[in-house]
Amino acid sequence: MALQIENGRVAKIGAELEEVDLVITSEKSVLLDILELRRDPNEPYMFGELTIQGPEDHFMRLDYVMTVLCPV
Amino acid sequence: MTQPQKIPKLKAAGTVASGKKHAQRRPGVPALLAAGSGTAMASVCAIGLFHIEGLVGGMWSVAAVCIGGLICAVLARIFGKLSNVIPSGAGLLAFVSRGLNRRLGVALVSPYLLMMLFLVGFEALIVGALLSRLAPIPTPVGALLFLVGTWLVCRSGLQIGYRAQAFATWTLFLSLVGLSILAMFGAADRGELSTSLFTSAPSLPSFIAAVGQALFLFMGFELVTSHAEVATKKAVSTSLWGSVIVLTLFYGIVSLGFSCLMNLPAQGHGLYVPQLAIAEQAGGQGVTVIVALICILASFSSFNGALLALSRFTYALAVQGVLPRPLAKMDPRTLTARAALATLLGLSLAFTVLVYSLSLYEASIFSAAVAAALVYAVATLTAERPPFRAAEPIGVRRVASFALTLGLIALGIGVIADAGEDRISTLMLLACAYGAALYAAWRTGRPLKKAPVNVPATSLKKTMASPNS
Repeated sequence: MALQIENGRVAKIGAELEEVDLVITSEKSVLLDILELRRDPNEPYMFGELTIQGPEDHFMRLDYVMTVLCPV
Repeated sequence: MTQPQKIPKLKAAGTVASGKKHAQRRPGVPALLAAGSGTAMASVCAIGLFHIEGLVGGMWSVAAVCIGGLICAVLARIFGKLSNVIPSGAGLLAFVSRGLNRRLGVALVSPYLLMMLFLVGFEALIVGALLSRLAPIPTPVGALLFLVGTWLVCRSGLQIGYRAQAFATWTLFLSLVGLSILAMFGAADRGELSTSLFTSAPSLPSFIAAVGQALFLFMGFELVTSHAEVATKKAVSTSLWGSVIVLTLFYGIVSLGFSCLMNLPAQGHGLYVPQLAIAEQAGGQGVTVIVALICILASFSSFNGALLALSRFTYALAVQGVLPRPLAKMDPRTLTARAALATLLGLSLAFTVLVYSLSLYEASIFSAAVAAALVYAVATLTAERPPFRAAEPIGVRRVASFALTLGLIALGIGVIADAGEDRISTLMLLACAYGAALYAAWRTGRPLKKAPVNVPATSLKKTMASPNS
């Protein structure tokens, strides 16, 4: 699944993108839990159930956004 | 109907010496090699090396370093495999959690990270001693300045870039190796070279303890795997064993230089900084100042990276409720976990006071060596479990891995057995580290799940239709 985000909003979903900034890999159930804000991404990340490929600052921004939307 | 939350606009985090905020090139083998070697080449390792030299002497210390290097070369292959399967910046915790389970991951990896933090206290005192050579500052004050200064840099979100790390690593390597070679030439001029290098054979328990302590010298080389998210798998694997080669060369030559040191301090002298001693002996006062500056820079670059990485680890554990929730806060502007950073600073200061007031110099090295041996044993075991290796009948490779696991545990026991008068304090430090880890593991439960936040589908559709609204 590909997401194109512009100015903090989802601009496109589903299509393959030519230039990829961040690749997040995990099982479908984990990704759904995260995207539906049932689960914080840090937890599967720390325990090896979710991996990322891309600049760290992109991931930190995405992590911050998810934490704001899915507060502890 | 709940309104969608407003997402704050986040600025890109800056990095020292990168020059580019958004586009980041993938680090290649040279950058990762410097990072991997530099992380392990802490000032405290020079003291560990000096201790090994004192324990077994001359060429025997080189042999202990080489055997430690050989073990780490095998471990480099293992870590490469672990990182290939799970290319995660979470490193050891991710590998062990996936291979064994989460609780074991926290219980077995956390002590290693805690001992790294404890060593920061020792490192800070060494930097304090180095600073006292440059300015009339007492060692504890210098230690405080180092810790607070590095914390302030981390708090602003700045992390040492690959080029700065490479500069720090290679200048440290060249300066100490160069001075060690000069010290050997000096010993040859005095006619003392052969007596310095070819000492009588140590006892087997002492040699085993020396090999166990040599593992401490390589501690941190495996953190190259934390770059798996920005580097290629091949670069990570190559840099792992490349770091081991660089470190073995470095410690082997510097150990020989330490063998040629004159005017050694009496026992109970307190903090002795052998890298300054060798600079004074082989180079003179001016060289001593330069070496002090290089060592401070190397310590700063190591601590900067370690503090930021540990703060994110602390933040992640706090988000899950394993650590107090107030630590689960991320600053949106700098993207740093400031509460976690402040807590780590407090812990570092406390550890510095402990090491200084109780003279826990040897105990901190011994306990770190034991923690390293045990975590490397766990990593070896993890590499034989799914998803890193498919279930298969027991063969030669599995037996060899199991033997390596037992060997590493034996080395850890050997370090404790040969700790002498520092055995009690070493065991107490380990008990505290593993006790805290067991408590954290107990609090690490099943995955936390919450009820989904009610974000209306209609607002999402509107956003997709007009992304500029």
